[in-house]
Amino acid sequence: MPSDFSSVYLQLDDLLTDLPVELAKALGEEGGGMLVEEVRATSAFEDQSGATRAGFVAFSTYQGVEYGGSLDDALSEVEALNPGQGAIVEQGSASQDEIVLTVTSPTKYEEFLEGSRAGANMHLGPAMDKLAGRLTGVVAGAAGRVLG
Amino acid sequence: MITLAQIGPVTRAVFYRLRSDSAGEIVRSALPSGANGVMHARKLPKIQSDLQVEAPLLAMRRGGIATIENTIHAMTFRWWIYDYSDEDYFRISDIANKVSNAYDPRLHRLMSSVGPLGQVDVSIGDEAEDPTLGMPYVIVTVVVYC
Repeated sequence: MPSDFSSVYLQLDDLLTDLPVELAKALGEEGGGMLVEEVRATSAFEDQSGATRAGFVAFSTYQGVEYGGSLDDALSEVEALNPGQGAIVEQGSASQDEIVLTVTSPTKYEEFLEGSRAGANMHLGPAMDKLAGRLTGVVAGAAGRVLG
Repeated sequence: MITLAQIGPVTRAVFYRLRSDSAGEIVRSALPSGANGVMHARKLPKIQSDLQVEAPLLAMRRGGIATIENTIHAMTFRWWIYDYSDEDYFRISDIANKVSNAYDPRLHRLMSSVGPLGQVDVSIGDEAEDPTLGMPYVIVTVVVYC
């Protein structure tokens, strides 16, 4: 029986470093794609200029690195269709060990659509509700691939 | 297992838990309009001055439904708890706790016309302000697994 476990510890270190990154990538790229598809299909709000729908973007963030959709690209889409109505999205705070999944459309009126009259035009929250199980499946699948 | 065709009965069970069930009495007693202050979201007016009841009040809207492993459905409902700006979030926070307690499965099993429902998860959201009504609110989310 070997008494030197240093190589095992090194492998475990690598695994603990790689695992959350792979989970964040899967969640942002695969899960984010599902979310954008879902919110683009909504009819919960009037889409007068097309900017909100064109600007939908989803991405995950882990330790300051983003995976999945590009917020800058989404902002460009919004500005192209509704000039002057693009908005910088404030990133939610997260602890060092958390992976955050964000779905939004960077317009000045997204918050208005999501938070008016008890959710009369709400679309981001219900999309998250609907996909909760599938998003969990994306994370579980990625974990399974990394852990073998 | 409850099928998606039974969304109606489950929605009614969640709504009437606060509107008229004994378990929701603790919530209604904190509302100046009692049961009338517990409504469906579509009954909210477009401007605050058209409100027919005194705040604080609660409005419910069903959210999305997730299917997990092809067998379990997770149905999401949101209670929007509103109050006047002058009252800040003090009364809202108190009512949010009462709503959470009203769904506590250790105290009250949630029943519907299709039978007893499974696990119920309740979470209380952040403080926010409705830009249309000009009223502060907090959302209490109720997820029913069935």
